[in-house]
Amino acid sequence: MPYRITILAFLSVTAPMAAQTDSTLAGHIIWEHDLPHLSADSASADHDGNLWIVSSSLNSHRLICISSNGESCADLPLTDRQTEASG
Amino acid sequence: MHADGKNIYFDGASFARLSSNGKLGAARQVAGEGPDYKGFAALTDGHFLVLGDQSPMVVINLNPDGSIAWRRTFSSSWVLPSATALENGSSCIVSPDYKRAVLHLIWIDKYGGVRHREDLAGNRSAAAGYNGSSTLLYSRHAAGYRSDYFMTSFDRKFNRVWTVRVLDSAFSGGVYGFAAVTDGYVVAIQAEDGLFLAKYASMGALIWSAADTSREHADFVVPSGDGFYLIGAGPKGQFSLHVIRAR
Repeated sequence: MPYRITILAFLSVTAPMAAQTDSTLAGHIIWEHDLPHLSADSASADHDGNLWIVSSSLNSHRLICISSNGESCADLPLTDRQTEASG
Repeated sequence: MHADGKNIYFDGASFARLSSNGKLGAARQVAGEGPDYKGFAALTDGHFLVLGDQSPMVVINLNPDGSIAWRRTFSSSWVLPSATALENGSSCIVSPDYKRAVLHLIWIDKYGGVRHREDLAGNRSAAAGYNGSSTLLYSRHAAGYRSDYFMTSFDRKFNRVWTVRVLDSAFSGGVYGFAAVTDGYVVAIQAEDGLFLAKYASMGALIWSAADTSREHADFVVPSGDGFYLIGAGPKGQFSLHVIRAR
């Protein structure tokens, strides 16, 4: 019986510590993509799970959509009228 | 934004609606030169909040068509506002104080009235909402240019319900992100040895955490269902647009 109590006490102490280190980031990644020569100014997801990113390069702005399964769903150039004030 | 020598000026903010088929409507100017309008939140009544950072802090409520419903200014020492949407068009905004280690929390109704206000000891923060509650990720400076990160949550009646310690001794000034997903919260913090990521249940219990020393930080954490996107969390030294879908 003393042996059994010792084991239970050990488990109760180590369980919270195990929760802190139980995973790697790779285990939670469904997919990842790299899009060269672009950056993200802002991002949001719609109700269908599509990700929308406003991306800027040196001389242009683009609106990029990536679906929840990682496929491109839009890539639209943004004009000055759409990225700046137009009243 | 434009620069004149060493001075940087912010030219204002515009609003445009994106339809479900990906068609972007015409932009409408909602603010002129002044604060840096970096904060934006969709409210539960179809309106939107636009948040301007300092000189002074500005909160603008937009009607669904982008016209201004109301505009409020706050102290010029309130900076880097972050907002989360609550029920009936109300919202919670958290803003660090530029002059002292205080976070200002205000709960605003749909008409711009401040329903409740609290101050909390802290240095930097972000807000996220879950089922009517207002939850913050915030940091407090520790010794040696380090910061400790916490999460705390308030219920609908502004009671502080729970607080959990998220990460000790990250370096101050690191990038962090915070989002509410359908089953809890996700935090991403630039830790000393890489990206720290964790998911918490709605009542603050840790579900999982992970560290990745090959990555540095995430520029954005975007909630999507019970999962999320990480933007800008590519390998260290890589400066292209990197997108991760995770859960």
